[in-house]
Amino acid sequence: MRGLALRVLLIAAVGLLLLVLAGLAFFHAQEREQGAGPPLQDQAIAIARLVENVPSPLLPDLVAALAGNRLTIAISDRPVQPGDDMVPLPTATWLGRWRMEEGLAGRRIRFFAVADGASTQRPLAGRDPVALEIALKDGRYLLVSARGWLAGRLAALRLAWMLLAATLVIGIGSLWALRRQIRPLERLAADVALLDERLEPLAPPPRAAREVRQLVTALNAMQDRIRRLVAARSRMMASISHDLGSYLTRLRLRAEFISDPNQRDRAVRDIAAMEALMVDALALARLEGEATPLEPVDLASLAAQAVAEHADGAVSLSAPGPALVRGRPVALLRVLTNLIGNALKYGGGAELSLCRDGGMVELRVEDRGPGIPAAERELVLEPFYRRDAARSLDQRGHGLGLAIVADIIRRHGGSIILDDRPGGGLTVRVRLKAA
Amino acid sequence: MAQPDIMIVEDDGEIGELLRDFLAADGFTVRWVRSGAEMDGVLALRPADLLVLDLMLPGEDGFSICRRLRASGPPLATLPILMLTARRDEIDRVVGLEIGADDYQTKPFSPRELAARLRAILRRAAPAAMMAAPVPGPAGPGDWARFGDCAFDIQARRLFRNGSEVELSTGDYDLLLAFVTHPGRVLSRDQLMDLTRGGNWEAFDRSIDVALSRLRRKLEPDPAHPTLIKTVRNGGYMLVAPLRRGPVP
Repeated sequence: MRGLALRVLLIAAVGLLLLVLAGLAFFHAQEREQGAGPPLQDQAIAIARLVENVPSPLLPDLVAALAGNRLTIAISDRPVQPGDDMVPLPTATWLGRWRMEEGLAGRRIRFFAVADGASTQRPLAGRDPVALEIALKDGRYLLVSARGWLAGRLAALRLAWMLLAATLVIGIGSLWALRRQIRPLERLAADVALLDERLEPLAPPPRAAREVRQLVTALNAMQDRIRRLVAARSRMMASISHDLGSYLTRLRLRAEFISDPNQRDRAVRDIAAMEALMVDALALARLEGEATPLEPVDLASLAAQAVAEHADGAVSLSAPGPALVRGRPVALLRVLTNLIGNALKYGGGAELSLCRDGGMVELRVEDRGPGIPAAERELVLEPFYRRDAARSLDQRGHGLGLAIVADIIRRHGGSIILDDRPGGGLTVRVRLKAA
Repeated sequence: MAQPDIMIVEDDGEIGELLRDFLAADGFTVRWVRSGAEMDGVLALRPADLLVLDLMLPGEDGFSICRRLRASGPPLATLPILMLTARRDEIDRVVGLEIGADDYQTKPFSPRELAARLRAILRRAAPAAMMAAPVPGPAGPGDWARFGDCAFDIQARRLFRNGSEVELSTGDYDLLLAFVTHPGRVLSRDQLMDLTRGGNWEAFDRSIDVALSRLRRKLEPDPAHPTLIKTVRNGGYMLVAPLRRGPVP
């Protein structure tokens, strides 16, 4: 019961139900008040039995005795026929047969509304007389007419039906109106789910309620803040890297003038290491601005290219055929290079494999290194997180390689999972959308 | 050639000085200026053999300078240019190619590597005819290739178009030879690199395109709509003009 529409519907339905119940209770109380004396049904049954057993000479006396203001009795040899100014009441008849079954003991009954010419078309009002025809056991027919509360009760029945019908119509109408109000919210929820790194502003759905608009405005403001934060960070990293580049360029040139060849070589190596760090940091910062479109790329041939750079056989590739994905070739090549580099560095070798899995292409890079404990698998994808901090500066990484890989994969709408390799080592699984 | 004359345009004082000192010690004649405007003045007095152009310059940036040099007439339009760029991905390389740089080098760089690149560029730009082997004895059987309105003397490394000679650089010659020895076949960029003296092209693999557009300017009646050497999709090229090869022009 999570949906907004469903919840509102339930509230409305319960409300309407309570309303209907209250109405019925009111009517019930009303009719209680008015009634005096035994219900007509029981009276009519009693009269029927009497009439069946009283000798005929006494019948007129019986009729006179029972007739009153509210009740009139007629005994006839034939049933009520069309043309008798009697309107059949099928619902009341059905209900009556059900309720009076016991007392009737097999006698057939019918309910009618007593009509004078003008009133047949009028809906049954509380004052119209109602007649109950009972087929007596000796073939005669007893007609008992009543005014007042029976009619009132039948009227209540009719009213109840009308109320139910009205409830249904109003209910459906309200539901439709509610749905229309909720729809902008549903649209908004769907739009928010589609937000991506480009952080484009949302348009408020047309004809949306004020609160929904406020929500959209707030979301757009938040996106704006995020965008500015990201831009500021990118700018910072880019300008630091750029300035570092200038100093490194000077140092590299100056290194040529170091007369001690040993010192010169070490200086050149350190400068190269600094440059590598700068390049990675810059790459990460620039990824944030990347918006080149995706194109179909054959991951198998890209992988072959990356593997070919390691001619010594430490890196192997198993790909059954072309593996087309939607991506950016330069970025994906970088992913391959970084993953292979890690596998070589920590595991001494890398085994790549590609396979198709439904609408996705899966790339696996596996090594026989120490692996990564489960607790660190998410952290390791964060920038500057280092697992080998204990190692010396020259031997450890800077913590950017996997962060760059994770960022690129995310921007491709793919996923990356680190796992234990059966038999020891690390399995990196990268999944990308097939083209 | 006599000591090659290198012009460096670099605004960072330290880098400019260091580079100048290194290259001078390595056998080049070096002039160093800090801006495009200065360069114009100095080149007007004495032309250079090669331009080392930094991209990030105050005032007019490297791209703009390169573009306008290429748009001007000879000799500046054919002045070999090597761009110095900060580390970037493909983007700058593609742009550099589009505006006609011959090669590029990212900073920081090894000055020895830079010197090697400079030498490679200079070699490609040297007039081909100068490198021709002397023809042995009395004029032996020649080896000419005719296509379009061009007559190509393969041994003498000279090209004639409608009778008048067109100057060929070594790079032009190597490229033209590759096409003439594989007429009617699609040659990919990689194949062209291999055929034209292998390793000289490593760094700027798309400078084949630059060299080709230079060659087209010399051969094609309408370089913008080539009819002799066509571009095939995915970066291959092919000599489509019918080729006649024989001992006489």
